[in-house]
Amino acid sequence: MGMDIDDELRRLFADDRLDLPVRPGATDAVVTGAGRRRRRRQAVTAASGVLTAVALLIGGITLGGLNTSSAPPGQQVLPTLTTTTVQATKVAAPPTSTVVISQMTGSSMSGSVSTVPELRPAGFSKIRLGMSVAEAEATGELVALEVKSRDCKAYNFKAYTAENSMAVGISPTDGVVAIFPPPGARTPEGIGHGSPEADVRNAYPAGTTDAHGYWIVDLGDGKAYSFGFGRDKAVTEIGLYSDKQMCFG
Amino acid sequence: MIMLAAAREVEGESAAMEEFADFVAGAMPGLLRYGHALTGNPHDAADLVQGVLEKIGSRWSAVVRKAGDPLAYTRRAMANAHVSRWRRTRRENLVADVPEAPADRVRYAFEDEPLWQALRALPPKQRAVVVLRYYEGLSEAEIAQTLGVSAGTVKSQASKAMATLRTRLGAPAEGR
Repeated sequence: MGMDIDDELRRLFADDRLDLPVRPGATDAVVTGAGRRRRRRQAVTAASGVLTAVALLIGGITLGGLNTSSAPPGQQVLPTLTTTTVQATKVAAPPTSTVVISQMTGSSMSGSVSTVPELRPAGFSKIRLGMSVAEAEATGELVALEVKSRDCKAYNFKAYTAENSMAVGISPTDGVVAIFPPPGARTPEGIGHGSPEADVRNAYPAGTTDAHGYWIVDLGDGKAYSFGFGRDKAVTEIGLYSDKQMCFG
Repeated sequence: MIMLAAAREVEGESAAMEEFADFVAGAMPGLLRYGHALTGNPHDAADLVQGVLEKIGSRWSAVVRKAGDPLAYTRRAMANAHVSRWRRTRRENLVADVPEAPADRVRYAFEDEPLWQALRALPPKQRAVVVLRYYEGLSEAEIAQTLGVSAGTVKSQASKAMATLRTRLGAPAEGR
């Protein structure tokens, strides 16, 4: 074909049909969304210590209850819970909750079959929120994607394939700011890919729905879980991110 | 003292939000169009614009202070967000009036453009390079800087993209 692609592209990009009508109220929706993000950041910063303590206590009680007999499907607790939780507890919670959680951890691991690590408030596998680029790369778990921006270097996990996507986002200034673990990973509360939305809301009743339909769970310290849902109202994406992230919208 | 400082901060925030709202109202049509070119479909365009603007709005004062030209900053952020995007799920759309019904889809005439179809089929990064070059009119060096990749990467992505477009347009019946 003798067509000049350069000219064709310029013609296409100048086409009026590229215009999209702006929905009435669009500006308000954006301003409201921006305000919500800002308030969440501020509230989280102010209340983080308390929230962490409460979340840990609630988590301890909920999970502790699972030990008795029949854990519902999707609520198994993986063996590796102790380290991070206790570490977090040291910062914010009274010593009693440490006891609760350590007691719970030992016995609740029987049903677990998954080899994928848990996604916890601190991070996933060896990758922790806040780790610098160098620290994260030194774990050997990441493979850098060519795609990156000034604000966000993108990585995938070596051990898990991911289609056309990034699993870890690292800011040059704030370190690891976003982690999206592969299917199979679950939170300590048992939520992972495939969990029904109702289970997510049960596990994290304090969460809120954001403008994109994601269930956002404040974890304190400017951190949050996000859960995205597919058409069948089951989880298709789980994530942990810092409010500092500039990796996604 | 604390109360006064807090009140002043709130006042400053609300002035900043008014300024941000003006910016959004003015920039929205152009950003939606640009997002349409970047993402290849109206839904993702609206989604991209909303996500990036919300994020920028939540830090508006800092963006204005540091970025100088908020519009250029927003467009750069959109290109980056689009490329590093992994969220494929359809989300609630609050920004653009996107045709939903099948009847409307027929009137969405771009569906019929072979070049548009070929562009949509490109991987996000290649399409971003094409859009930055032919829509934004950026040089290779500027594209590299915008996307945070090397000039060599831009060159190779661009040549892959152009080769694919040529092949697709040369044989439009293929791969349909």
